[in-house]
Amino acid sequence: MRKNRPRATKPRNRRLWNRALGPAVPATAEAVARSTGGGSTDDATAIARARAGDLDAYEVLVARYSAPAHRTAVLLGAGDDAEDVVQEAFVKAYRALGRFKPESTFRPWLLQIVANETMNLHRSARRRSGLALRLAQIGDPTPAGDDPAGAAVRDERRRLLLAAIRELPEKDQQVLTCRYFLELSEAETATVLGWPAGSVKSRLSRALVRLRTKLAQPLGEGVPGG
Amino acid sequence: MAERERNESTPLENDPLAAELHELGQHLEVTPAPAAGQVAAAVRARLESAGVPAGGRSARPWSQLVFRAAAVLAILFAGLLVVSPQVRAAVADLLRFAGIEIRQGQGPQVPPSGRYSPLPGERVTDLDTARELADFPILVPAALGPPDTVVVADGEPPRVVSLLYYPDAESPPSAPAGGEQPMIRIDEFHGSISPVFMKYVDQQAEPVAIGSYLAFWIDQPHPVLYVDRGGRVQEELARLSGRTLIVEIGDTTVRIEGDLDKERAIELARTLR
Repeated sequence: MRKNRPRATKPRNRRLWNRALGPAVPATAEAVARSTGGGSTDDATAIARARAGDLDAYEVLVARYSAPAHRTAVLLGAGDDAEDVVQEAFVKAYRALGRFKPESTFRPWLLQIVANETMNLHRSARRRSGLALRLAQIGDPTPAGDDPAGAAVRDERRRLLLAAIRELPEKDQQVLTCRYFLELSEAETATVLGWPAGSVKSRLSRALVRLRTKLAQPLGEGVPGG
Repeated sequence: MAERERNESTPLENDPLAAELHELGQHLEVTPAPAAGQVAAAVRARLESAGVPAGGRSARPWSQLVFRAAAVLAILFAGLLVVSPQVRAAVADLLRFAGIEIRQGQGPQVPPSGRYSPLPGERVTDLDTARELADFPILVPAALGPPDTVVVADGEPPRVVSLLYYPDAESPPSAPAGGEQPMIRIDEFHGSISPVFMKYVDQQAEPVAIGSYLAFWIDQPHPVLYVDRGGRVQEELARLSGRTLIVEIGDTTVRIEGDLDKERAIELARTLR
C-alpha cells in the first residue's frame, strides 16, 4: 500500500477548499449587505446571500427567473408538469449553489437544471416523446395596415414550419428551441443542454439543413424565402 | 473549443430561415406561467419545510446532516430486516439522490474482467486540468496523495472524473483503456442532478457514517452500469465492480473501488480533501 506517499501539498489543499466553498463569501447576509451598501440586489449579491442561507435573497432570484424557467420547461416538453419542474429545479438549484461559479451567469446555469428536470420527466413513467411544440391558439392581432390575406399566409407558413420542426430528431428540436425560441447563445445552449461547447454549432447547422429539406418537400420547390 | 465559442455571430444570423424561426418563437403556445411571487413563495415553503441547506459545506449545519443521515439509516436498517418492495423503492430513491441507483437483484451478466473498463469519451489528463474542467469539486484522499492517472469522461465539462492508483507508482500506464486494472479507482461526479451509475446488488448496501457524511459500503463484486446524460443505461459498458464505498460530500459523489476492505475504504474516505 502507499501510506508513505507524500500528502497533497498545502496550497493545493487550500485551493481545493476554496473550490469546495466557492469564492470568499462573507459569512452572513448582514456582512454581504454591509459590503454592498444594501441597495438593489444584483444576481451576484443575491447568490452570495442565498449561499449564506438567506432565503429572502433566494426568493428574489426565484421571482426574477421564474418566467424564463417556465418558458424553458414548457418548450422543452414539460407540458402540464412545467410548474412542478420549475419548483423542483429551484429547490435543486438552491442546494447546488455551492458549485455555481461566480464568474458564470446564473440564468443558463439555472436553465440547465430546468432542462435536466424536464428530461427526467421524459424518463419517468409518464414518458413523453418529442418536445410537443404547438402554435398558440389565439392568433395575434393583425398589425395595423396589414391585409387579412397576408396574415393568413403567414399563419399557414408558421404551421408548416412547426410541422417540419416536429418531424426532426429530438436533439435537432432541442437545439432549435434553445437558439431560436429561448434565444440562448451557442455557449448558453451548450450549458443548458449539457453538450460539449463545440457541438452546438454543428448540430444547429445540420438541423437547419434538415429543416430546409423537409420544408422543400411538400412545396416541391426550392428553399422558400423568408 | 474556445475559439469556436467566441465566434458566436455566424452567417446563420443573416439567414431568412433563422429570422423566421425567431419570429415563430413569438407564436408558440406556452401555458401561462404562475405569478413570479407565487413561485418564489412555493419554493421558499419547500426549502423551509425540508430544511434544505444551500450548497457549500459551510452552509450545512452539522445537526441537519446528522438528522438526515439518521433518517436514512433508519429506513435502510428497516430495509435489511423487512425488505418489502416499498422499502426497497424508498432505498433506491434515496441512493438515486446521490447520483447512483442501487437495484436489488442479479443484474445483467457481466464477464469478470481483470482489465480496465473505460467510460464514454474518456481521455487522460492531469489533476489541475481536471479541476479546471469539472463543474464539481474534485476531492483527493490525502492518505493516497495525488493519483497516478487522472481520466475525464463524457463531454465538457466532464461528467465523471476518475482518479486511478496503480500498485507500482513509478510506472503508471499512460493509457488506461485496455490496460492494467488500477489497484484503486475513484470515480467522482456531480451527484445531485441525475443518476450516473446503476448498480445491482444481491445484499443490501451497508450504510456507514464518515464524519457527518452518509456513505454506503457494498461488500461484494457487483455489476455496475453507466447512465449517460440522456438517462440511457449503457448496457454495453456494464462491468463487474469490486467492493465499493460510495460517499456524497457536498455536491460531489465519490465512489472508491478497489482491493480494499471496509475499514481501509472508510479510512481513505475520511482523508478526502
